[in-house]
Amino acid sequence: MKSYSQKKFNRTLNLLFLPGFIGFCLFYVLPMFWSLMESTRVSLLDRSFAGLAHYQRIFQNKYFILAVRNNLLLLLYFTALCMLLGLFLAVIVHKSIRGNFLVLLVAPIFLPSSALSIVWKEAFLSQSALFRPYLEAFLPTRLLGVELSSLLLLMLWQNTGLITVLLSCALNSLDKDIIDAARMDGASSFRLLLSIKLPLIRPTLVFSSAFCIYRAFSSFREVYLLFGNYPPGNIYQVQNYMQNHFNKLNYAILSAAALSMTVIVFAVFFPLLSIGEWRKKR
Amino acid sequence: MKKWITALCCALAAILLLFPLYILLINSLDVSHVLQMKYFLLSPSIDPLLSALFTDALYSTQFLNSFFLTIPVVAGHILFAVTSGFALARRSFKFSFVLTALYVAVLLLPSQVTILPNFILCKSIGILNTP
Repeated sequence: MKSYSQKKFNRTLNLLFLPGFIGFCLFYVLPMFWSLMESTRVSLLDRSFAGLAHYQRIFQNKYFILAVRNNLLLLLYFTALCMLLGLFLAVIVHKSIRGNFLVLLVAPIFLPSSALSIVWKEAFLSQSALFRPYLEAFLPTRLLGVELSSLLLLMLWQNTGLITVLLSCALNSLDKDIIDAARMDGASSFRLLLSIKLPLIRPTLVFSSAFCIYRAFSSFREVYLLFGNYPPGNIYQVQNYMQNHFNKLNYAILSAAALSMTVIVFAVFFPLLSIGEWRKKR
Repeated sequence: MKKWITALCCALAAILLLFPLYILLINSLDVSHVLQMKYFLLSPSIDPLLSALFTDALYSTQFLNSFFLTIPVVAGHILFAVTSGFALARRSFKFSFVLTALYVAVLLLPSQVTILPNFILCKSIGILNTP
């Protein structure tokens, strides 16, 4: 790097950053702007200015409110369960994990959801399904409802493996000296996990929960495959609402719903990322 | 003792992980044409798999389409992600945290939000229907 002055290096980095940023502006910022313009029109035929009427309308619509509530609840349940289960599995297996087992754990993410949804429909959801009585008898799944708990099971089955692999890799890469030192000071293994290992792998924990949130928000494909356009009340998601308006060509309402959803997504996401301190301290 | 607990947990996780795959496999080997999910088979046959792979023209076309679509998508992802990732990691822009967070957050947006504007955009810059 000596023959390369810092200023020149920075200029190269700026150039490297440019293509991604142009793509981002072109395919995300511009559509957002288009949506914003569209959401203030009356409809596709009547182009007169409507102001905030559509926003007022969707926030008085009980189905939209229900959908937002369902989305946030699913996000909460799924992220909590997936992280806890993944962490539990990672703590148990991270010392003895082998390459082959690792591949096995990541495999579910690559399987097509359409094939899995058939299995899930027949194993959990249909009236004569083999496992439906167990879901109805077991108290937590009965409280959540058979539909929501089987959706959660499908998502957990797909994602827990990857979370386990991520966390066990992070646990394996910890510095041995720190752990030995803590052990010399008489820390029990539970204490070691709670006050040494978990704080050290915090960036990975934040990244994994960000991934969980991403999967929870993009669970619409599974919902659509399992339940179709009009799912039962406790599964109905914002994306279902938007899909139905998309099919009816209500772009104004669709845009208003999408922008409100964007605000909600950012409100959930930014605090989480700032916990992680992704920006490196220099 | 601890080793046994680990082994037991691994075995349980493996069974849970493999069970849906087992059901898919069993039902792909079924030739009885009964519309019901089966959990075991008395007379498995490999014919359905063979016909899907070799005699079903539609399946192979669809598979090849997915395959060839994957290549430019992955190449584009690597090209753009590597360059901007390297720049974001090595240089602290004024708003680099906000930018990183934005890049991640737009992943969460549902596809209905961007699909129509993107279609209009592609149409207006004339790259629609060009392979």
